Amino acid sequence: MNELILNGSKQTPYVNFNAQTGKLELSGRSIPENSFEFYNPLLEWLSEYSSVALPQTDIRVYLEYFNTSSSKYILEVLKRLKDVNELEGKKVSVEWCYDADDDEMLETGEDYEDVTGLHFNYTEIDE
Amino acid sequence: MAERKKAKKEDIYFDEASFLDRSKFFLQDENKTKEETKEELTNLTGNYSELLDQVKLITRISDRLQRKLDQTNDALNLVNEEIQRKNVQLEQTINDLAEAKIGRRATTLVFIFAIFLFIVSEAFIEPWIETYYNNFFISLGIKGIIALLIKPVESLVERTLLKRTRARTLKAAEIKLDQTA
Repeated sequence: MNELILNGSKQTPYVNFNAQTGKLELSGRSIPENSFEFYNPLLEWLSEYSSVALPQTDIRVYLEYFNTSSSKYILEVLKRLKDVNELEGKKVSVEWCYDADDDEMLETGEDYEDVTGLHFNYTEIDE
Repeated sequence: MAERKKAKKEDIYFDEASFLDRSKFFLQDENKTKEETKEELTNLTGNYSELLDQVKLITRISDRLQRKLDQTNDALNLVNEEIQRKNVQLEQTINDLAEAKIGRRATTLVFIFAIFLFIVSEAFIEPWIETYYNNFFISLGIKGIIALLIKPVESLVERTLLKRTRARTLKAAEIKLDQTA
């Protein structure tokens, strides 16, 4: 299965989904003009990944800012990972990173954790 | 009530809209059994519950992001005010410096002018007065007028130099702005 790498921009986050290592990363700002166009390849990749998922999948999310439609798609991404987590012998852990002075992002991570039921580890990043 | 547009795959709530369409379609068929109706209602309730969770989550996140934006905006406004204040101070300092520099230059020019007038007075006017009038007070009066003219001439030179410097500075700033635009 191919890696999914998307270079970040001022409006879209950096994406690096690697099926060989089971390491996924989503970082930067997410305010795309068309959220569907940006996130649909990620969701499709995750659907495909669920059939070849490694026993351990780690996703690192380090978002500086995202808009409302992105928040919906991030939830969708996490839900797909929750589906992977529910497969036998598969485990997904989420590393939710946030800037030291950004308590809002920490609370957002906690909300996602509540809704998805996935296990989140929180990492404070010193700027 | 406005009619809802048909869901497109690009819609952010495509799945939810599809579930609703399915339920609407189900309702049109009156020959469904009790079990089928119960199953459909269970599905609909599940989807509704999930949608409600999403709405709650997204509303919380949006409110939080809004608050964050507001805070950032307030911080930016504060920084902007500080920059404006510093700009005024800087402008004032630059003006003071320019005025001091121009004041010195004007004093030098007027000093040279005064020396020139003194030489002219001693070399040409003084002998001329002695020849035609031979009056000490006329000579003193002319020297007094020359001395009294020094200050207004200095102010005039200073004003002219300042005006020229400001025009030059403005032109340089405009050229710089044009280059950066």
